[in-house]
Amino acid sequence: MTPTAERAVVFSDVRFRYRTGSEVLSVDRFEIGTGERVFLHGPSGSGKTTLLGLVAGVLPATAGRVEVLGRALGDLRPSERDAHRGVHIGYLFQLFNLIPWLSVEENIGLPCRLHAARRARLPGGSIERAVAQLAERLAIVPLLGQRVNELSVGQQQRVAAARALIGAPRLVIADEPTSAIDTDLRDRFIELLFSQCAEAGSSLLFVSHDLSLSARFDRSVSLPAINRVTA
Amino acid sequence: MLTPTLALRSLANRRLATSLTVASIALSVALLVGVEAVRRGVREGFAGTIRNTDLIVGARGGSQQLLLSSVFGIGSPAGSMTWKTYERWSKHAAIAWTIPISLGDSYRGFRLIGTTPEFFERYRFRDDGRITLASGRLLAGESDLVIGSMVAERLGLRLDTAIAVTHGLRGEGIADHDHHLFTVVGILAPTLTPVDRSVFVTLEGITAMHEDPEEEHEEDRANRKDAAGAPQAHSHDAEQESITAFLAGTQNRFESLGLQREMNTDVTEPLTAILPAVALTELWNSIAYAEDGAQIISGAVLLVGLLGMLVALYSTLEERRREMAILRSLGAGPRRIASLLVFESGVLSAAGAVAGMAAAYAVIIAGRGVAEQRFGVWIQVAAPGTLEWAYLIGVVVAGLLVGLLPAWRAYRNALADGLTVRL
Repeated sequence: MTPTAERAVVFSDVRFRYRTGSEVLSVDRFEIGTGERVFLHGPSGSGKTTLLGLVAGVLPATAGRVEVLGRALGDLRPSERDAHRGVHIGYLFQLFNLIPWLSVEENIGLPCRLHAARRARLPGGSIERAVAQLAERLAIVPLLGQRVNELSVGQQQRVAAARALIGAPRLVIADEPTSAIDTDLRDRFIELLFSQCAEAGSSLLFVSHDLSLSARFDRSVSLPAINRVTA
Repeated sequence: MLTPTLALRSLANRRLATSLTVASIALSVALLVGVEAVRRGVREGFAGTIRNTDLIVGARGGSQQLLLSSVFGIGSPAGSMTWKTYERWSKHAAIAWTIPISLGDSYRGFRLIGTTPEFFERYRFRDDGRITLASGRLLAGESDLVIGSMVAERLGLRLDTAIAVTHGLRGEGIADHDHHLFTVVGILAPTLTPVDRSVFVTLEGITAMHEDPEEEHEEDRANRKDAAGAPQAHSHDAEQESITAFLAGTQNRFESLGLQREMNTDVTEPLTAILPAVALTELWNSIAYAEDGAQIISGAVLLVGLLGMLVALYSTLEERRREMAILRSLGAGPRRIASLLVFESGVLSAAGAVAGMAAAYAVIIAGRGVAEQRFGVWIQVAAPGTLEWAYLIGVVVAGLLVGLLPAWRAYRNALADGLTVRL
């Protein structure tokens, strides 16, 4: 067996069903290596959201073993899984990534305020400095003082990326983050994401149904191919 | 520390809804606290109608009847007592001072009190309030008449006006004693007590009023019997034969109770002695059921206010599912999400409670003058008491409890939604 310490994500014989439903996911083996950039694709209804929920530790596996960054999530209590996600994972949504009643700056710094361990990963423990650095790299410095609802979708996604990347999480999960922005912006956004993940040494799990993106990733995984439950 | 910050920012973002919710809670708290403060204020004002007097003594009868007739001028006294009895008690070793009062006549609906000038010196109301003159002088001769502020205002009386006084307690002169005219020599400053509605003359004045036997007729006799309960209520002699009641101060306040018992059980002449403070409280309690109704209503209004908050919070939950999912993705557990909502309801209810209390006091302090002028009611304003603080804490606790419902719903949503958001 591969030493799991070198793997960011390891699924072994994972089954999942919602409390009242039939089985939606059955994956014998799924892995993401440390620092690896994985492209996961599949049509809607193929269980992508469920798989991300399992990796993030929001959904508990019905059977099997989900290991994320060396921790078996099944062994953790729900609150420990929440903390594990908050400290070690950066998460990007498809749309509406930002909390409307916080400023841009507060949105970016929020993970470090929610979890002291995430803040401890910042150089000097300074949230302000880390926000400033990320803002500079993502070219969002002028946005910092603006209200969230004044930003364009592309700007929102970059701010959300900054929030996902602050404190150099070991795993970044991106759930179709580019589906709402046009091609030109999309490419630049992916470049930014790649460079930042590389710099922090983060693994990246990128979910999309846009197969044209897959060539840029280290590896491409088709969910219907590994999920034995067919929709 | 983060939960409060997040909750406050979230509330600030929904400024309009937040302020409306706070306002509705504030309004209901203001009503609750206001009703309570007015109730207590009026009660204290009422209890302060007569102070410094340790005993009120009259002919044998009910204690409420004695209090109502002697202090408030309501109803008629049970009877009269002889001057001899009065003199005997005024010489009692435990008694420091006594003031006789003679009731039974009125002037255009305002009762006439025959007494001695010492009355104005001894009478106290509320916190050491004293009777003062607005103009003129106090009683001296048998034709002198001093009127309370309301009497002067309602009847438009001025100094030096000569008036005839009605015999008996009826409004207009059935049998005016117009052979004996009185002259207004003094007008009293407002006291917000029954003194304002009283007309004062000397005991000699009362006697002089009833002096001429030719003026006496059957109707008058019956009338007096009615009013004073005993035919000897008014003397026909120049000498004062009887009075209606007397106020007394003791040498030592602790002797009041013993003295009361002694008077009530004395066999020479059957008397009723009351302790004004005790009798006032009894009287208040007997009419206090009305205030319970007001409290029930304000309690119901508070309930409506809290339900309004519940609706306000609950209705935001749907639109906030997205932000809850974001918080979840950042590692916030369902409990933190629930605590956010509980905290929000706590802030709303606490802000509403404090604002409501402040508003209630502001209105009472500002409106006190109006209540005083228009209704002649004195509202004693005191610092918030235990009950008010209990209300405040109760409102916040109730707010937190109400907040548990949307919090529980958010908790369930957070578990069910995970990181997906159904929009």
